[in-house]
Amino acid sequence: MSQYKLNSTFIIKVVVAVTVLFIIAPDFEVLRRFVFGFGQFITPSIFVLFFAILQYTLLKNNKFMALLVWVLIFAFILLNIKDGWPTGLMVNVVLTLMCLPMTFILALLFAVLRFQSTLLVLKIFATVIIESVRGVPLIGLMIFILSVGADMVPAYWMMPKIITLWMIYSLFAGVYLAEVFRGGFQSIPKAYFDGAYALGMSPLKTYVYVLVPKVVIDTIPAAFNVYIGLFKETSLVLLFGYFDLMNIALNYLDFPEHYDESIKIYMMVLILFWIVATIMHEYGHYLFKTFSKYEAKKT
Amino acid sequence: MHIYQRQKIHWFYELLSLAFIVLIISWLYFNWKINALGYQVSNTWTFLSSSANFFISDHWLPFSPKDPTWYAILIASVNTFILGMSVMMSATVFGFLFGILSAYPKYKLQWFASSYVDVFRNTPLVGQLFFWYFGVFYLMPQTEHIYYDGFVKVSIQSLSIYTGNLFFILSFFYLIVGIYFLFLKRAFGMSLSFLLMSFIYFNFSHSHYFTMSVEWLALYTTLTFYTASYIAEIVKASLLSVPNAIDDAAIALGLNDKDKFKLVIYPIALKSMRPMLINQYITIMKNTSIGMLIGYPELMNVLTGTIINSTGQTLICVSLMMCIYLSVCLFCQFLFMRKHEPI
Repeated sequence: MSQYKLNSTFIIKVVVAVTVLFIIAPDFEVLRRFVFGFGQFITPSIFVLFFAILQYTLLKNNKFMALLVWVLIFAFILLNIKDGWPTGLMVNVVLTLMCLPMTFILALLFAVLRFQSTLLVLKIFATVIIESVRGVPLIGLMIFILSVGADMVPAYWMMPKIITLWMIYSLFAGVYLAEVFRGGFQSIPKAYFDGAYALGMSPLKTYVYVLVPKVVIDTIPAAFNVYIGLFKETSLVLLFGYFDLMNIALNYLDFPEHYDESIKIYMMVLILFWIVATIMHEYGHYLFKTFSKYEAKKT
Repeated sequence: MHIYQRQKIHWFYELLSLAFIVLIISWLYFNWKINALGYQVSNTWTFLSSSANFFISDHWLPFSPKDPTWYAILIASVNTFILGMSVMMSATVFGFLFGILSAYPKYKLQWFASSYVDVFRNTPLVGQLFFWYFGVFYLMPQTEHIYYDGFVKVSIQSLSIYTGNLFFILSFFYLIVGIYFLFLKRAFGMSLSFLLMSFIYFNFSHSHYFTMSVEWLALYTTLTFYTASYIAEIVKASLLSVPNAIDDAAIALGLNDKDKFKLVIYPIALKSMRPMLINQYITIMKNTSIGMLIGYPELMNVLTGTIINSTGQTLICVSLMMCIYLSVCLFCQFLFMRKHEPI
């Protein structure tokens, strides 16, 4: 097991980006509105607390506690949804956080169903869903949900918008992640099956105790690619009229006195997205270094 | 199922899962039937052959609002196709340039190439599009003071370049090449694309100016820079994945740096980067749908924006759109897919 060391270029990059952000921003109030929206400061700080607990449980390898913290985060988000929250960059972050576990579960399910299952019906079903979601751009999927899919549930359900978005994004990212997990499953040597068989494990136990942990750790870098892609794609929620970072920037630029600031404002938006994506990238690097059994080849 | 157990069909579970899936789908369908009864006009395909009654601002082929709706969809598909193709070409060139620059530390510009990749890969496509469209191209001169010097005409709406009879000559040349390819073996697709290009160029030759709308320019720049960063990363990874022993062998044979790259490393890397490049090309075709946000009339905008608004046929239009994109993706896969060759 190799130890993770904090990369100095990562720190320099983030510090430079934050400095540039503060130089470009016309006003501190504008920056605050872009990041936290029209909400208050308290909710993000509780998030940070949750994440500290999650990190602690991960390090102690306490899977039950980690699951509990995820459920708590989810319940917290659902309880806090109201008019002013989440808005700004928090929409993108919250949506990504909500989607992570569901994406993971869906991806494992689809990967196992499509490539390891012997039930022909489920195999065809999973194949059709994966191919049709992968072959259509996300905007198309969103328009499908907005115009046709919204009528496919009973009218009295009254789902909050963020739940609809959560379902779309987890399906979309889950299908891409399923392909990643497929690669992981295919890369496992036959000897693992032999070992599990010799130990007298049933197929289910082989999956739960041998294959899935190995596949999940092996595919961390590729999976974080998908997660960062998911985070970037969340800027499309402006199609739903949701006030995420992009939409707030557009709204800010609608005023005639701000017309000449457009390059500045869009650079601010890009830098904010860039900072979060870079931190996610570094976190994936950290996870892989901590949990993987392999040393990276030095060149 | 364990690999050492004999494979057999579990009829009970097959039927159970089939019943479950059918139940879910029929539940969704009947819900839709009940909910959409209030406002849905009857589902008919006749609107495809009636006249379109809307105008498409940017079209490569001749179009007027009196033409049928299916022809409008074709025009929009040609828009998407040409945008995707031009982005493919330029993104490949930029991506290879930046990939090769960032792969080897001996190049002085390595820091530039790697930071380019870092910046453009980690920011969302929508943000970049708005940055180029509302930020950079917004600086072009307003309609009152157009820049015009006889050769180029620059305004906030479009960029025009004087071409004279160039497109007529090009179209004639492409026609001849296309007819020539028609008589060759295994070049039918090539000849078709040449004939299509000739037809499009002939369409340009009515005017002495070649005009590009600012939406097209913004989409083209955004997609080019965005995809080039992905392609650069692919190229870099494939170049670095060539084993060191091959490098040593090339040096032992007495090849110099240029020949070593051209004859040994590059062909090996090209083989391993092919599947990922195809993936990127398919992604470009899907990413062109982002043009909907700035009002460029491509397939997604026309089919699910304008036509749904004017006819109200949601289910047909949306399923048509999904079918077209899906068939484009599957066609690209089919076109580029070959048996995997080990390196």
